[in-house]
Amino acid sequence: MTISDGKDELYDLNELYKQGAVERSPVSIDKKIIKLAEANIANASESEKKYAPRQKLNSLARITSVAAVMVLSIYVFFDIRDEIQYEPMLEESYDLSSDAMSEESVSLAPDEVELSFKSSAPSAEVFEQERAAIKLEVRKEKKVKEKKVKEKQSAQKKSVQRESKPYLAPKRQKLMEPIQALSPATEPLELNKLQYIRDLVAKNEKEKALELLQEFVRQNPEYQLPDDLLFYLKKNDIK
Amino acid sequence: MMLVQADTDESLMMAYAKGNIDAFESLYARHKDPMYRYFIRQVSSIELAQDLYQECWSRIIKSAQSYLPTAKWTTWAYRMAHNLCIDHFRTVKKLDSYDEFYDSTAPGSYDRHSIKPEYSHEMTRLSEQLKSCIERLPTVQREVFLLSQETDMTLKMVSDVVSASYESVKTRLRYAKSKLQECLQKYHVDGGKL
Repeated sequence: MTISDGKDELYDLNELYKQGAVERSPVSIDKKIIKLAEANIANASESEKKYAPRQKLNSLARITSVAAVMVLSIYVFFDIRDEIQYEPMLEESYDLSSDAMSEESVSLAPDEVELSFKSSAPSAEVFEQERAAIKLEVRKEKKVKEKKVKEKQSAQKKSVQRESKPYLAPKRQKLMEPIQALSPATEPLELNKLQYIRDLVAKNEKEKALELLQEFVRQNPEYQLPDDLLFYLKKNDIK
Repeated sequence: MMLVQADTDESLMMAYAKGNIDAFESLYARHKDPMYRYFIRQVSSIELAQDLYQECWSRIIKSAQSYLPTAKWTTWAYRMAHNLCIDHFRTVKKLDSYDEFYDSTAPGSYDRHSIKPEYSHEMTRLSEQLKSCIERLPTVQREVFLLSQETDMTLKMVSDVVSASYESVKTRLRYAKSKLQECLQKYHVDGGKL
């Protein structure tokens, strides 16, 4: 112990305590505990074998979903960029055609001007109509794309929410039951707390999430963390 | 194959989590008796103490896979022991008020005189008396005193285990020691009667 007893104290408590501390844990209990430890190791290796392919699948699914999100975001980025460039180009092309028209009209003789004016009048109308039609089409396309993007984003959100729901494997659930029954002091709202931590991770507030998770583990060392949070804690705890 | 004594508790626990049963045996051998004494001095009967002791080790074993050496192993393990005691006290509703740890008149919560040490013939009269005095301490002071005696924890670590501030723990320990001194003196003055 770091704090020593004062020198003026009448009795050396440390010495007296050591002298009296002769109780030993019974051998029968020792054996039981060692057996339990062995059984736990055996169970762990069995479940590891059982869940190993599933874990691989899970990690593959995670990688795939991340890749999909990246591809989607790149696609959306370029799509928006194209749309931004599209409208000025339309107006530019219109300007160019009108410029060409005016040059054409200048180069013609006065008689021909009237003729050309007469002939160009319907073409201008047609052009206006075409332009309006194109604009309408562009707007429709834009709306459709926006709708698609929104749908994709909402689908993504849903999938993230689905992933972040607490999942306890049946075996773990069974494992938790005696603990839940035995430890009312350590139990209330643990799943909510873990969910909150998951939400923080999803919001990219990693430091706060890690801090909370460490505190949670410190407060409830006996609690079996879900695989995702355990992985997260182990990954970030190396620092 | 027993592991060498130089291995830290943390490394032994990590080795056990990876499947090394020898590591667990070494760890268990190192801590079984102090933890056993912690329980038998904390609760009312030896049977109950043994139950809690087994439960505590069972929790340690089950939590091995999720163990991370962020804190000292002793802090981690005794935290579980503390939680178990708290849960037990709450169940029987006889916990000393944790806010009243300054109350020098507070008696021990239980009639703990039913505990008959298995090796009483080896004990000196005074150390026997010290045990009776420890029983009379308020629970919170008793726990801090026991942790300070049975483990190599610093006060900071003890404060982590019992979820109290460093200053509170320091005060609890000081009060516990002064009460034990008074108790032993009184015993001498009264000619061996308390």
